[in-house]
Amino acid sequence: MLTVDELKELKDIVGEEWVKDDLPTRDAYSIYYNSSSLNKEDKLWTARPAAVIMPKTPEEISQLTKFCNRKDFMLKPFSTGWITSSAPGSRKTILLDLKRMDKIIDIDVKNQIAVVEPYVRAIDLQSELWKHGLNVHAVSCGGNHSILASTAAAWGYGITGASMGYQARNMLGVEWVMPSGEILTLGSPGDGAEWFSTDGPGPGVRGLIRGFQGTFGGLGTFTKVGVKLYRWDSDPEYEVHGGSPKYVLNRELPNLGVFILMFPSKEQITDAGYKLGEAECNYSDFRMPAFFIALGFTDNNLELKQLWSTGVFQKLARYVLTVCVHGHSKKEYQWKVKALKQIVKESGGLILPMQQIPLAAFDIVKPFFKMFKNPLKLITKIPFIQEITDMMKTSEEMRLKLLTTAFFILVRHANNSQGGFRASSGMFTSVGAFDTWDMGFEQADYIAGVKRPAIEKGLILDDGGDLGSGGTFDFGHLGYIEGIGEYSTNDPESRKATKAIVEESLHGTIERSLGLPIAAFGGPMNQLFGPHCYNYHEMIMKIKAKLDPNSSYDSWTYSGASEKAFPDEKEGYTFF
Amino acid sequence: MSYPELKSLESDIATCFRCSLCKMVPLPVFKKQEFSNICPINSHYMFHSYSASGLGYMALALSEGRIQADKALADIVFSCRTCGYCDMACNFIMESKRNEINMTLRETLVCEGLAPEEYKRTMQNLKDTGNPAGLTHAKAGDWAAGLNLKKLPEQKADILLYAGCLTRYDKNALLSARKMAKLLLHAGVDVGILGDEENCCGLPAHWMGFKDNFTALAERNASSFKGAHVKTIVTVCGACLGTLKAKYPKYGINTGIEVLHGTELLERLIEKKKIKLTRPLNLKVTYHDPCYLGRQSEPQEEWKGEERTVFGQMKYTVPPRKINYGTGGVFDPPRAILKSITGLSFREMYRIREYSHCCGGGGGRAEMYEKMSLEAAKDRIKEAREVGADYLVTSCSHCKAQFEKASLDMGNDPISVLDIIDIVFQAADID
Repeated sequence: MLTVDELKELKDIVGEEWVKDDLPTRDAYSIYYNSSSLNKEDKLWTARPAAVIMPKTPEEISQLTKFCNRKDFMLKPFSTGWITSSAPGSRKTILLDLKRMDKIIDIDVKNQIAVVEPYVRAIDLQSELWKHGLNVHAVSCGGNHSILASTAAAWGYGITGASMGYQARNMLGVEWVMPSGEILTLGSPGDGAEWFSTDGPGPGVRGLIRGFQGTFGGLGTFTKVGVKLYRWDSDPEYEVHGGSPKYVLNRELPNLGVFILMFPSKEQITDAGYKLGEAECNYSDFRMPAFFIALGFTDNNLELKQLWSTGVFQKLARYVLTVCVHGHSKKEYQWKVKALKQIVKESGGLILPMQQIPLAAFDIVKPFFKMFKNPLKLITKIPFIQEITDMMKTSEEMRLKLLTTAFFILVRHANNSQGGFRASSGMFTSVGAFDTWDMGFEQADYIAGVKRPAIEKGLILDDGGDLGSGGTFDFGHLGYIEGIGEYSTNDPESRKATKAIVEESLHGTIERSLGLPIAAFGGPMNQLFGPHCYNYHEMIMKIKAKLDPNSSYDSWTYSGASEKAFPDEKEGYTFF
Repeated sequence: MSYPELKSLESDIATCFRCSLCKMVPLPVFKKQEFSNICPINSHYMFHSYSASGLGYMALALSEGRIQADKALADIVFSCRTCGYCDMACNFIMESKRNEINMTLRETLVCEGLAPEEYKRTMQNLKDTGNPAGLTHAKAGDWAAGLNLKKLPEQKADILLYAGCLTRYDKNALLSARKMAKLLLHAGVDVGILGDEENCCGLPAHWMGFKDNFTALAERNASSFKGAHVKTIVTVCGACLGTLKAKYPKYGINTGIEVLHGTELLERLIEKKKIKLTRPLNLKVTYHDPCYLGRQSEPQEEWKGEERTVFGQMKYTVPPRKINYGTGGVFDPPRAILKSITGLSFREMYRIREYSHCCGGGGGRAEMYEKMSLEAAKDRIKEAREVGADYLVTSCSHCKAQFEKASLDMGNDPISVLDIIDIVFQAADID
């Protein structure tokens, strides 16, 4: 517990109103997305932080860091703070909520670079960038995530990765309050130059401070980041009609189209993914699992129950890739669409008409789909099936409805959370490594098998098993599919089953060489995966020990429980 | 200490996954960072505790006995302006009860005797004088002096014009109410008032968490309304509309009488050409959707059915329970009226309709949280300026008073604040 003098010292640094140590506020910072994964009792509560502070400048953070170097407390910075990795790992942790640091510092239109503070959300930046004909990579949790976090501190995989890559590679310099309290600017801006490189001129230690997964606030605080931008050659803004929860675009945007591609088999979808990448067709793409597609067609869970029970989606939509095609000119857009259509045809797929299909239609076709194991395989053999499909038209509004749903997922990152939480209130993730596109499907198949016993016992949602969500990266050079599942946050048995699935799948990932998953961060996970991956865990421990000898930063999400943590807090964590 | 009302909401609280969408506009309609935050308390105090998500977690902590009901908690809880945006924002993702959690938490603290002294004084004023400010300089019916309106229930009329307590005691607002009455008389509407028998709708009691006082007032009012034998109640103030139309039924008080806001009736009368907007007005205006005329006036339908589980963990309801998205509020009539005025240039702000930004004036005793509440209003005025408006038009006496106060406080960049009734009256060219 902070003493009166210690509290005064903290308040003197940032101002009295920006330090909170009352119990209600500290408890408001003790629950996060899936935080029940952090304790043995499966409770939602994490460790209660010692205090919560809202600094405004790197200089204030520097002083706070120096305080923790002297005292028996640690800092844990976070930006938007909705994932459990933002949680305090100890009751000695002082949380730094960086919400006050929300400035877009610069948009360098000519060189396609933006410099932002921690609380600039993807949608904040994207909305400004579109006015300048530019865009930014956003991670798949949605437009409300922090650009700085995904660039400099945590993960970085998103739906626009098809053309914009993995976000860590988009980092072009970073300002860093080191665990010592020293403020260091890495890369070109560190040498007084513009923000165009993290690796130099100037100090360049990208691998050390970013690595693959990130340091999750365990190795200092990042206070500014330069981020590479991409072109946006469509409208600077759009208008919608309708109301919550389904806003609908007033019209299509120029040089931009969304397509729903269906394939009869895993081989065909992966082949098509590689070819589409080679032709650089995809501005963004998302492998949409069947259950999520059914969810997108419905407004409530009763409708979803009825639709999913038809069994149509399970058979028809096993291998669906939603794609956004964006051209930098009308001509380029037309060429890309032509190429996409050709590739789908060559791969034996089918482009679904962009029409919201009335739910009753699924009941009508249900008997047909029951008759065949893989009806899509038959359908795609029908001569001129694509041409016939293309002729199917309902109303303009029905077309805009489906187009909007896809646009908000693929481009605006605006409705991602609707899909993840409506059905059962909780969503977990497990396997999912940044690797090849077809490896992603292997992971999805594997996790579907691991989930099966819990599904059969009714402990997690029966989503058909395969809820693998992700897409291609770097124009098909890489791929990422995350092994997702849905559970109930209110059912202790469901939470326990989820934890067991995650643990089993992590071990299975090693046995099957399925790559380094999203959950591979923090002490116990590093210990698990490190020996199979160049002993990276040892390197992380060395870096932490060298740069943060006084444990000024809470490192549970990075190198493991901090030296300063209480004994009961040093036990292993899992994450989902 | 056990709190059964909070206990029953624990499972709903547990569904919050801290996405913070309760603090900002729905992502699909996001336009600009500067005008993207909505929660007035979070925009000012910033800490997560000052948000629906944080309030929920603290409610859970209190329910589980992790924290005590004390002043530290009360200071945070009572700062909330109860604008209800968080409810709508969360329902965008999944069915939730954010507003109910907030209200139950404050009602719990009131029961624990933790309401601020100012709140208790307001409740006493309501009891003693029928208005929250305790004003006694005029009688409740004085605002209508000389208008020759029918006095209900002694006389009979189709429509009861309900002024509301802020409207009838505020020297500017009562002029708008008088104009409304004149417009209705001009259009030949059979209208009457309760006169000195008109009471406060009870919203201040609801805002402050005094559930019993609110229901007592609401029951008394419902009895007066029924006794007036009218077909329709028309409110001048947006806040009263939301209270009568949505909050009364929510607390089990049903009058069975249609409740309309003045703008809804005016729109109908304009459409039927009973009121002709003949005078051109060369004004650049924008419109502020009041919380209780907008999203908070959407009634919560009573649902009778069964909750079932399918696919292991998916809950659904038969018949489907209607989720309140806030879209059923009064949004179109004010816009239709403004757009029908010749010469008037109408501009939309960024935060509108169900995701309108609160003026900061609601929630009870806004002056206790003056800096925060005025900041909310100033933010809104800046937004009106940003879209090129010279006039900020609204249809709630609370919002209007709040904006006028904030505008004065803004020094060299004030904005003219108008009640929509004033504009209609001007355009209708009635003396």
